[in-house]
Amino acid sequence: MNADHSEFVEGPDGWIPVALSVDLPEAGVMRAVIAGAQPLDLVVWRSRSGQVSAFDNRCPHRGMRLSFGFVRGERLSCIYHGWQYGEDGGCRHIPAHPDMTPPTSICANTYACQDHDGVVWVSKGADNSDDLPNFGGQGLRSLSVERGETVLRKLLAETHLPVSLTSDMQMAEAAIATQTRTSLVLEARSDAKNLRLMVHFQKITPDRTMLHVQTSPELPAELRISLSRWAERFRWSAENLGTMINSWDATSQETHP
Amino acid sequence: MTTSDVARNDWYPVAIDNLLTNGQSEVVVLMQEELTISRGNDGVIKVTAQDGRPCPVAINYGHVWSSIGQPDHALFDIPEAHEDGRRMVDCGPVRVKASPLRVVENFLDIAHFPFVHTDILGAEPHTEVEPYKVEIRDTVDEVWATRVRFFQPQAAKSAEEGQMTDYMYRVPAPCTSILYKTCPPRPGSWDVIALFVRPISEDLCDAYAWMALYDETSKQSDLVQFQQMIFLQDRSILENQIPRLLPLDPKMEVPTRADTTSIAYRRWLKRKGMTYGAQLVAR
Ligand code: FES
Ligand SMILES: [Fe+2]
Repeated sequence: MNADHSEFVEGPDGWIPVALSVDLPEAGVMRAVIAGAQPLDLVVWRSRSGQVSAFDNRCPHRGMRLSFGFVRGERLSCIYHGWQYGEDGGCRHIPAHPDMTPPTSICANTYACQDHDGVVWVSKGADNSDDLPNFGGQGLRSLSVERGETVLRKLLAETHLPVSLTSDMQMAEAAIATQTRTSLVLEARSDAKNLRLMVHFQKITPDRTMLHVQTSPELPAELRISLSRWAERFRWSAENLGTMINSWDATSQETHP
Repeated sequence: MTTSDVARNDWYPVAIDNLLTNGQSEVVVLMQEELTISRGNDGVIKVTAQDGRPCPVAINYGHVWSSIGQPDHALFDIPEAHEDGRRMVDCGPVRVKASPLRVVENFLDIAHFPFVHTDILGAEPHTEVEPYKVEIRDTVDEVWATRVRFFQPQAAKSAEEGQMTDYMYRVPAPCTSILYKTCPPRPGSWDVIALFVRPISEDLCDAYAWMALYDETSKQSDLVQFQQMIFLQDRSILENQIPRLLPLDPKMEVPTRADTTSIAYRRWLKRKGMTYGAQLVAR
């Protein structure tokens, strides 16, 4: 059977894509959910200098979700009482006691986090040695789809991509060039030489997946717009179309009793 | 007394007195039980549980109070409510998806003013919480915090500019908190603002704000609106605290000196066996 079952008990090992780098700018804060029997609720943030970090989405003080917080310089500040945390999770400042150095025991729970190849990755395990892709893609968009990852991979293997600079509707068959644990690359022949689409999968639940999509660099703007519309249509058809998909769903659900 | 008895046998607000006219009735939920509050044509209020049993009724501080159990004590007294010259303002219920105990604890907290009520009840860089005094008064079985001081840019509807404001906090019952604060038009007197909370379930409640103020100039609707705006800011916090229940295990959340009132409140709840809306062990 496939690997999904154990992943939804333990949660996936290794690096998990949680955002396109362009969607988490300097001083940006976002929430990310990682699948598992007890899904992880995380805050992912980028400091002024560009460093990315991921913590449990819960302030150690009074439990406020840190994803409602804001970045000040190199620190994430909680919205409730303004406690500030460094990228190592350590509490650096407690505004109610401005002259006090917070004890090192006050610490947000951290996860490994890195910005690589245009994607922000998080890992919950100790072993972060597995390879990350080096596709050199350019961020297009992220989208949440009400389908499991297995089904989406199958649908992508049969998709057609828009390839024309002049018509949104001129499509060409796409082929999978590369497949990895977290990602796949589609290739199609287009007006603009070599069109590649990188899709990174973030499992949210067995039936919901976040897709982080990149294109090959230096594509004409018109084509990127067409691809963005294609992604919208792909989501719609994945969520709404056909018996075939339903039967795939049934197969994949057998593995998540 | 078992744990649930402490919660069951207490008084909770179930309606606003002057919004219930003769011959009218309304249904509310108190701790997962449906109660019907009705006022007869003679003006007398009755509260009836779903199984038809009559529930105790008290009317005070603009609210109708009842219980799904049998309280062995009278409703707490707020002596200031009987003072001449005060305006009584009830602000109506606000639904909060959080434990009633989290709602009360937030009401006892001043350190969040600069961040949650920015430029109204607090403002950076005036974030320091000076030491204050907290005690559990055993004779009355209440939590009190006194000598609390905090800088406020606009302390009340009637305040024009920033000032150090004095506060006192009183917790007469697990789901009620009363705050006393400097009264700008009448130095030496205290404005009284209370929060009465009705648990609907362990992590859902209705909070009723009630005020007894020395303020002859502000419009009633402005006073209500000011208080509602403040409370809606609190609600956006309360509905995003994890877990939704109030943790009574001291290992679960990390307090500092500014949280002395909250520490005493949690300890008092634990000692009383008030666990409705609380989480006892870390999960
Ligand atoms: S809950 Fe985060 S600073 Fe208080
Ligand atoms: Fe508040």
